[in-house]
Amino acid sequence: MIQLQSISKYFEEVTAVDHISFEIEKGDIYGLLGPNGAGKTTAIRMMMGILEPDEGEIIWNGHSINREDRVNFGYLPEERGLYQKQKLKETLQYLGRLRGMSRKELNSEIDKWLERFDFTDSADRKIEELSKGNQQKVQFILALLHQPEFIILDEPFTGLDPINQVLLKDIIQEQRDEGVTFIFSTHQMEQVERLCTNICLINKGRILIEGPLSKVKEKYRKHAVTVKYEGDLNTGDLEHFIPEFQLENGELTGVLKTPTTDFLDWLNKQVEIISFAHSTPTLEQIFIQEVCSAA
Amino acid sequence: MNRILNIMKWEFMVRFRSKMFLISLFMPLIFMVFSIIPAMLMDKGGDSEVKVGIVNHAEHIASKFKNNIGNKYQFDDGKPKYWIFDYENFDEAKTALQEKTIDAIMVIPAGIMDTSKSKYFARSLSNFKVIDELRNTLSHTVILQRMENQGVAVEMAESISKRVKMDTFEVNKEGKLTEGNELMVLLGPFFFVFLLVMAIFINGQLLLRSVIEERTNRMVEILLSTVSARELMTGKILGLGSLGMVQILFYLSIGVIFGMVKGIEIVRFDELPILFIYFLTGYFFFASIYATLGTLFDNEQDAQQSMTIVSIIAMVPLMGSFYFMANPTALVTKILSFVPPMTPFMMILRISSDAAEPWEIAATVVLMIVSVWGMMTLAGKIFRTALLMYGKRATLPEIWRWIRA
Repeated sequence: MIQLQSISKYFEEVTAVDHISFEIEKGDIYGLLGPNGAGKTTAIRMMMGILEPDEGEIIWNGHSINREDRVNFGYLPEERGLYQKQKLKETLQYLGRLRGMSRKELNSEIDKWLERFDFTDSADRKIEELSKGNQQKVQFILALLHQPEFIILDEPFTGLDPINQVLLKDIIQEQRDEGVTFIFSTHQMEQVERLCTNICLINKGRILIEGPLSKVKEKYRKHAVTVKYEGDLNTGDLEHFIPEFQLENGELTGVLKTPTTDFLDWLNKQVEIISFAHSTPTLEQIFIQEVCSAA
Repeated sequence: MNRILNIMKWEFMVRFRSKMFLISLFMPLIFMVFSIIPAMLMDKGGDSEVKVGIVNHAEHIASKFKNNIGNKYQFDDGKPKYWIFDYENFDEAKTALQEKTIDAIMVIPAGIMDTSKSKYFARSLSNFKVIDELRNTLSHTVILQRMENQGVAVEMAESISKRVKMDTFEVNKEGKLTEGNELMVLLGPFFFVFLLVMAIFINGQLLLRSVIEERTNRMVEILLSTVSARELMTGKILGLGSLGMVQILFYLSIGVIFGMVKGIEIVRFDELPILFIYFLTGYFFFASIYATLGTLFDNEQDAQQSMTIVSIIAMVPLMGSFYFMANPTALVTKILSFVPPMTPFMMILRISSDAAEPWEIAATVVLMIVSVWGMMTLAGKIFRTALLMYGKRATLPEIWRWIRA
C-alpha cells in the first residue's frame, strides 16, 4: 500500500534519515520505533508530504505519491496544539472542509465522533476550555474525521488516562478491521506489543530491525534469558555477556549477545544457578539491547 | 483553489469575530478624530465668549477698539464675542488673569501710533483665532486713527483700509468648482493614504500573528499535510486582505458621510477603481513581507524589530504627505513614486491631488504588479522552508540559500 524506497533526508550536516526502506500492507498497524532523535518524525513528515525526501521515493498504491493521495491521510503529530480561541466544532469543520469533505458528510461524521468521545455538550466550547487530555482526543478526531485510508499516529496515548487509552485502542482496532492502515510511533513498547503486527526500529536515521513482530521476537527468543541464582554476581563482567540486564531478588533477565554456553560457563563459576530458561523477550528489552549495542 | 478559499474564509471569520478586530476597527478612527478635531476647532475658533482686559496708555485707541471689536465679532444671537474690561495698571490685570476673571490682557502703549507695537498676555497662546481677531482689529483701529489724524474722512478711511477677502475654490478635471478651505482639500488624499497605511499595519500584524500562532501550536503540521505552503500563505494573505477591504469600506463610508455633511467631496468615485488597484498591490506587497517575518520568528516580541523597519518605510509617504501634496511634481515626489514599497502611497497622494500623468499611473501599476509577483515568489520560498524551523533563528545566508533553491 505504501512503500518507502531508500529515502534519505539531510539537514545541513546532519543525516536525519539514512536510506530507509519498508513497506506497509493495507489494514496493518505498523509500529515505527526508535529513541528520541532517531529520525521517526522526519520520516513521518516525508510520508505526510510536509518535507520532501532528498533521496529515494515514496510509492502509494503502485505510483509515486502526490498531494492528492495525501488528502486521504490522517495525521496526529507528536507536537500538539490547536487553535485555542476557536470552538471545537468549528475547528473540526475547518479541517474537514480543507480535506474536501462535503458539508453533509462532515456534519454527520463530526456528530458521530463528538458523541463517541462524549463531546456533544462541548461542541460550542472554545478549545482552551477543554482539558489537555480532551484536547488530545480532539486531535485524534482530526486525524480520522475525513475517513482516511492511512493514518499516522505519533505518540497518541501519552497524557491520556487508562479509560481513554482503552477507548483509543478500541477505535484504532475497529478502524483497522475496516481496512484502515496505521503507522503507530511511540516509546510505549507495551502498546506496540498489544497493537502492532509489524515493526520497524530505527536509530540515527537507519533501520535496526524490521519485520513482523512475532518473527522479531522469535529471533530474540534464543537470546533472552531468565536466571535464578544464589550468591554474589560480578556485574562488571556481566555487561560483557548482557549489555542491558535487570537484577531483582536473585533473578537476572536480559538479552544475551554471546553464545549461551559461554555465558553459562562463566555464570557457573560465579554463583549457584537455581534455574535457567530462555524466555520470550519483551519489545522493551529488544529495543534497549539493539539501540545500546548500535551506539 | 478550493483549499485556498477555505483557508481564506477561516482566516477572515476567525479575525472578523474577534474583539481585537472591533478594537482595531475603531482605533484608527479615534486616532484620526483626535488628530483632526483640534485642527478643525482651531479653524473655527472657540464659540465661547472671551473676556479681555485692556491696559490702555493711548487714550483714543482703546475706546475705538472696543467699538470696532464689538461691531465686528458677534454670535448668531447678537451677543458680543469679546467682553472688554479696563485696568489701571498691568499688575491689576495680571492678578485678574491669574484668577481667571479675564482670559487675556492687551497692553496698548502710549506710542502705539508711531511704534505700531502692542502686547498680548494670556494663560495660553494656543487659541490662534482669538489672537488673530484681536490683532487685526487693533491694527485696523490704529490705521483708521492714523488716517483720521491725516485729515481723511471716517467713511473714506474705512473704505480705503478695507481688506481684501479671498474665497478659495478647487477646480477638478471636469471643470467643476468646489468651494472649500485648504485644510479640507488636503484631507481627502491624506485620508486615503492613512487608510492604506492602517490596513497594511493592522492586517500585516494580524497576518504575522496568525503565522506565528500556527507555528507555535503546531497546527501548521496538520495544515501542511493537507495544503502546500504556498496555498497556506496565499489563503492567509487573501483572507486578511478581504478583512482589510471590509475595514477600508467601513472607513470609506464614514469618510463619504463626513464629506457629505461638510459639503466636500472626499472621494471621487471615478478615481476609486485605480485607487483600489494601488490598495490591493500595496497590501499584497507588504502582506507577503509580514507573512515571511512570521516564519522567521518564534514570537511577536522577536519579530517586533524587523516589523518596525517595514512600518517606517510605509510611514515615510504618510509623514511627508503634506509636502508631497504641496509639491506633487517635485523630483523627490516623482522618484519616490517609483520605489515599490512607497509607490501605492505616493500615487494615491498624487492622484487625489490630480497631479499624476496617465503614463505614470500606467507605469506604476505595471511596476506594482511585477513587484508583488516577485515579492510573493520570494516570500513563498522562504515561507516553505522556514515554516517548520523551530528554536533556531534563520540567518541571512540561509535565507539567501532558500531563495535560490
